[in-house]
Amino acid sequence: MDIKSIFSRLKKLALREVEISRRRPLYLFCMLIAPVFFSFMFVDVMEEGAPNEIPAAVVDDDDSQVSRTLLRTLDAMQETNLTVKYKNFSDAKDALRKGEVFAIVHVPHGLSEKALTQRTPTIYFYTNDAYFLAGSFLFKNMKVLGELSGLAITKATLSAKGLDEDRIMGLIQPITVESHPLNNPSLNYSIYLTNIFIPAILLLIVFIATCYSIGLEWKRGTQKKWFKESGENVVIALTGKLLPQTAVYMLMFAFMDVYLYKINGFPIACSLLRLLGIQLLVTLASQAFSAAIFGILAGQMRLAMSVASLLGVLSISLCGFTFPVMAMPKIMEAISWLLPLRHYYLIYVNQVLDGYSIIYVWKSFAVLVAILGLPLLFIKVYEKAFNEVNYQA
Amino acid sequence: MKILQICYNEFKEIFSDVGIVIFVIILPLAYPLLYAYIYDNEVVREVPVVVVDDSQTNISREFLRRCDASPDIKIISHATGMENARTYLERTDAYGIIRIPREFSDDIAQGRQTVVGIYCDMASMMYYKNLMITVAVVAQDMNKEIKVNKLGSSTDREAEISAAPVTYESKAMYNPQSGYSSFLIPAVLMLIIQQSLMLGIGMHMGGTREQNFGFAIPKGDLYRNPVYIYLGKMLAYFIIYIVDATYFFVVVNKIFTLPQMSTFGTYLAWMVPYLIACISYSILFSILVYRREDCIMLFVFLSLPLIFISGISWPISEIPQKWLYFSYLFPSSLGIHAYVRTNTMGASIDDIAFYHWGLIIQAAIYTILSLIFYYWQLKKRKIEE
Repeated sequence: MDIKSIFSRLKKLALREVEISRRRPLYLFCMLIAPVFFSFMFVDVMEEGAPNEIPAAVVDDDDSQVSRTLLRTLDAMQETNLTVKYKNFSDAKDALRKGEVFAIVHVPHGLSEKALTQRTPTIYFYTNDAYFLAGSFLFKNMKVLGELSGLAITKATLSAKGLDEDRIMGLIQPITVESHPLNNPSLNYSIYLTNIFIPAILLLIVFIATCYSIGLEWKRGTQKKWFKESGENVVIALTGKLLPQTAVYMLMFAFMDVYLYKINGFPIACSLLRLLGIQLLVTLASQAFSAAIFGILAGQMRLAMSVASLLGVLSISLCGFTFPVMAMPKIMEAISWLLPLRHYYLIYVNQVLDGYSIIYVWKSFAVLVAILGLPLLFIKVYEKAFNEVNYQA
Repeated sequence: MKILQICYNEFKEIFSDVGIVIFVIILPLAYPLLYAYIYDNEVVREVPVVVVDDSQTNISREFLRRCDASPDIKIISHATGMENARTYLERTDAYGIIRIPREFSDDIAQGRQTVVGIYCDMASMMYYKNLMITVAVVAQDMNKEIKVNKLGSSTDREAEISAAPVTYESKAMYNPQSGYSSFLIPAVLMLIIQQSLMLGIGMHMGGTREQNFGFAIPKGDLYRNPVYIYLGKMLAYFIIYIVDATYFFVVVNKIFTLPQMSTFGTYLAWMVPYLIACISYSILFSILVYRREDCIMLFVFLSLPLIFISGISWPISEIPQKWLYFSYLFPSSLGIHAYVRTNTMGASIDDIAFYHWGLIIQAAIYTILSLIFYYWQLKKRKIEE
């Protein structure tokens, strides 16, 4: 086949695909409406970036000048909302159990008396770690408060004795820690999560839709016609069918990129064009991956879609952006290497978040390119499927 | 009798269809084990970090030794400077840098405050959490000791400030080691119930429609009354899922030693409305399914947004009102909290009245809507006939 006839076949197949999908609202919903809707949802829900309204309970059994100063300090911290005061500890504990508050600050009786007589009283913090993020945030604040509360009291006494600020801090807190969360200094959760959530959903859709659209040919009994139009060439058949879909996914990625990085001002350390290039590669790799799954399971549409769903959903965990892959069992770490989303995440961190040299993620690029060739291994199976396999429920 | 007959037919159809069996039986059995296995370690240990020790003194080495001794981070190398340290981050050999300034020990000796810098790659919040907490705890411990040392050669004034005026103790409730699976698995379990039902019932619907020229209800005298059809279908799926739910409670929690504060009675008290809500909701949304495989296309990718909007990770207090109301459309948003609160936190059924009643209301509304759907389908067929 010469180049010209290849192109004319590809064009014909692509137009055929456009015609098929035009008549299917299912595609419209999954490929266009849902990703846009969820992009708006994630960005809107996490608009604040960091949680700052998590309610915490206060039980002030001491009820003194000192304890009130302490609690005011905690309340002033951005991420805590100490609106709920309880008369006694068991009420507060009930509220914690009912989920009305997510932490308790308990100032026991006798705090100020002990503090003033150098007997080191203790404040108690309880956080609800069944809610991981809420618990972690409040824990961080409580820790800071624990430090501050001690400082506040001593500082007042020492200032009264005429020591200057530097000297006081050197005495009561010789070592301080200054943290620099690189490239996300405000610990913005929206930047952290949305940047992966949206591509994760899109790539999951790519996984499933690819198997679905290929399988539909068998289901409708049009696989032979499709194969014939490709000149009985598996590569041309798949390429012609999947490229129009690639175009739709790229439109979605372009929308996401503009929405996140231009409209919402999410930080991006590389150019938008380069990011789009990365997204094109990972989209093609995901399509190839999914086409390969269909190949392995020759013609078994439902089974192929189930496997694609399983791996697609698993990808979200195994890409490792919430819970790092290094803390997972070794076998999961190995599987993660096969998954396009995992490599997208690694490249995203390197390029978009940190802006490091692209050389450091060459392995991920290599894997993605290798995945592009994966369907080639199943050409024979595809040919057999085109000619011999019929749809089975 | 007709109800039982319909229910029996449903069972026959379900179990003669591998596709549906995979969704309603194999998936609920296997997925929890898979996820519990992935997160079996619960916490992240030994996050690799590099250090830049510009001080190179006994006290700076002691500081770093203590950081390294913590289970949360691991010092993999000493870099020659910040530039050099950064290359470890670029190569992702390390995820954080601890930097001790040149003046570190001089500052401490002379009673000036000194600043230890930590620099963390934000690819995952877990790295940051581990690094920050470790270094903060080490600094706090050493501060105490430094103060006590100074007390040895104390003047009156110093003695006054040397003892910490207040200490604190913190306790992570309900999930003592702040484990990831203890937090995530309960949500995953509840989502599995809803999502696998949507897939199973959706596929069932697709099959029925394929065999009945687009109608959602099979032909025959048996299928004339929407209430019977609904109850028959409901009963079949309810029986299967009460077994799945019991398996979650009895087997999954035990194998992976997840928290289990609830009695089986409390569990059933909200699980029954949850199952009815999920089944009716799935029947209703199976309207959208015209081909067997459509259900996979339509429902699978909703899992991530559904878990997010439920408020189990991003705190519920931070979710804007309108999205909160939106989340109440889905049984999983209520079921996840009902499960976490009773089972992980030991709340009673009264404590979760909001979720309990929410599920009952959802069950009622989706039941009514499903009945309307069946009624409409029957009417449509009558006209065609």
